Amino acid sequence: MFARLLKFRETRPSAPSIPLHHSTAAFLSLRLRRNLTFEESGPVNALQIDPLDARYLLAACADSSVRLYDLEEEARLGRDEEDEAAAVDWLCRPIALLDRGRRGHEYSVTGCQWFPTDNGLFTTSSMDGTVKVWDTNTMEVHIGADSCACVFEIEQHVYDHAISPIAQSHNLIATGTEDQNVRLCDMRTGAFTHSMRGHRAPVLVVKWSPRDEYLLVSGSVDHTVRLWDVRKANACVGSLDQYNSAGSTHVSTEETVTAHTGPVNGLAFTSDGLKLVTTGHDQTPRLWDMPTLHNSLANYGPHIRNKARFALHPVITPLDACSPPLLFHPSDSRQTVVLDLFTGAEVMRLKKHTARVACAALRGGATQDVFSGGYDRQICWWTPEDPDT
Amino acid sequence: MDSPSPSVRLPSRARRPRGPPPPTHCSADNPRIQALLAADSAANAALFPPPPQGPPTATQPASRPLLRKSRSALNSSSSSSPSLTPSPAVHATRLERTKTLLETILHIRDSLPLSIPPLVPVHQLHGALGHATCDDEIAKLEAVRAVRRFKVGNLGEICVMLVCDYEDSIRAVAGAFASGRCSTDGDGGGGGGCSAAVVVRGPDGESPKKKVAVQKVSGRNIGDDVFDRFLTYATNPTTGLFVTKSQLTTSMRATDDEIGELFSYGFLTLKDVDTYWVSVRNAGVFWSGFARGRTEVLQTLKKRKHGEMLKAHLEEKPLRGCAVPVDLVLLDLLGKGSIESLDAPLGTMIRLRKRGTGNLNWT
Repeated sequence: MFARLLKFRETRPSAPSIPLHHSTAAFLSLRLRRNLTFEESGPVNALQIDPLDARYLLAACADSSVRLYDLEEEARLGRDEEDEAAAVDWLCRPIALLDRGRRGHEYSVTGCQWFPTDNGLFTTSSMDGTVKVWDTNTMEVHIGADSCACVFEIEQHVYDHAISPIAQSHNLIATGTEDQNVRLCDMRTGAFTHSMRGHRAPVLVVKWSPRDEYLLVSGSVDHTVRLWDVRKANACVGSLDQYNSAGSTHVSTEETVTAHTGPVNGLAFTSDGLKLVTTGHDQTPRLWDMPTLHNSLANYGPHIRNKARFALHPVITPLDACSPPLLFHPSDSRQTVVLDLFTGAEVMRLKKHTARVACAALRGGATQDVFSGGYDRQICWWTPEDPDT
Repeated sequence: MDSPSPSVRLPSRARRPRGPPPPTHCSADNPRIQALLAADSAANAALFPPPPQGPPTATQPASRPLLRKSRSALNSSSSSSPSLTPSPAVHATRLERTKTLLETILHIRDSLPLSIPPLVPVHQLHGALGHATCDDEIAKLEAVRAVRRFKVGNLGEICVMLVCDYEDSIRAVAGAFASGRCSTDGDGGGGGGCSAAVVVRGPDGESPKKKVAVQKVSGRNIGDDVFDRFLTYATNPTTGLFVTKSQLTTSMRATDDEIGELFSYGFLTLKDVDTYWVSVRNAGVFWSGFARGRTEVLQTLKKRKHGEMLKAHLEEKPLRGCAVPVDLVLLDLLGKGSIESLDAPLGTMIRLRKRGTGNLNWT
């Protein structure tokens, strides 16, 4: 009998996990947070919430400013009893603002990234050709160990940059630039290490894999998505081919392989790094199986509009927070389309912006909040519906 | 017979007499298509009727039903929140999937007249069957060599065609080519035979030039079995949408002249230097008419005040300059997402959908 129970425990289909069920339900019931608005910022190009505390929000704006918000400000500063009764709207102001100028950036800031293991550092990249590393407490350019100011002068438009979230052995920033190379900047030395050649047109988006700390993926205007191993001399490991799916035996030649029929401007990995979503100007996001590089022919429908030549940052919910995982895809049609990752069905649309939605960000931790930033100078906070109200 | 006076104007729909409908492709007569259907239904016996959620993926644990039930309860409570309550009178048309992919392809193919090649744009299949599993099923049929995908038109739209139809078109050309070859000793016979083949190709607008080129066939290095080799190569699922010259020379052992010959017959279209799309004869005739039909439908909808019309009204008049019937053009636009279909009390309505002009400028 004991053997039978043991066998039953080991062989039964995995039971639904209750926390997973609740967080999935929370994701599916997202709505705009009513009693809080962000102060009007510049047109937002990128948003990121720090992965450690899930408390600070960085917004990179197209008017050359970078804004830092504290999401727990409301809790920190407290509310009076009268305010609650009057239901006053809480205006969330940035706790720090990096304005346009010599100290900050001179042109549009295209990306902002928190340093993965420390809240005290963040990096920004801009169209003025620089990638700067900042100290959060002083909001000055970070001075490195041997007092090298961490400004990487690339002298080309930088469309996107990325730091590996799991890197132990390197501190590289990968940048996607106008001149077709993916350049790697080393934060330890303050110098460039090497650039990876292979693309034939400006690189719009770069992402590191959350599974391998040496694997880098970049998408470019020449319709291709390339995979790079930063340790190798001939760094290009592969290129995604839209005609190569699991059942097909189609073979494309090296020069003609394309991932999309238009410039690629968005990449997103699932949290285990096994699937990749790429999206481009042909307005069809594609889901790729990472180890085999096959196009799993998931069809996301015609709901997305994507025509801007900037990096778009779609996000996928972490696999341990939402099952089946959802893809939050910002679209030029002033809404964020939420799609089921594997089946491609449209789950809901988050509509609030009055201009193009440029980025979406998930707040990690135990919450299921989603932030979206648009070119109407607004950041919207989407939070699960409170079951009491 | 006296025409009605201007004060008594009959509506235009009733005035024009309808001739007999033009002959269309008929799949019931084709024994190979029937064999395909039989094989396909045998393969799909387990899957048909298709499950409403689509094929289960490995990531969904077997105890899904428990989660699904409670989540739908939560969904209904959240959808009753004041953000979006669709009125029950007008709602989006639900897609009822009653046929398999192959049956849908055959149904669409049957409505196409004989003057154009039986190409089925993939968006029509998306509109008819929904977006979810369509691409997967097309890939499966391709692997079995039942259909083939072609890129048609300059916008890069993909169309699907049955492999037996493609074989028929290649064999027709091969037959004419061979008969032209056999009867030629000098230029006269060759010109006569080949010009007959050229005329069969239809009003592509390139026949005069091609006549001159084709008449020199006797001097060129073209094997007799070039079309058979091309047939086996093109219907092979590994070939893909486009081929490079090196692939043609290695896999098909085609010489430059043979590639030129295939190009002149319309089986290869230029993509890049030394790269060709594998294509269908008279695909230009199909595509130009289809594009014209699309723009006509969209403009008819734009002229209306709210960009919507009853589907019955749209389907009454045949399209000018387009051989493809209206309901197929509507299916294609539905699959693309340019229009949406709603069920209203008056009937099915078609509404133009703006996907958003995307305000890229910041104020």
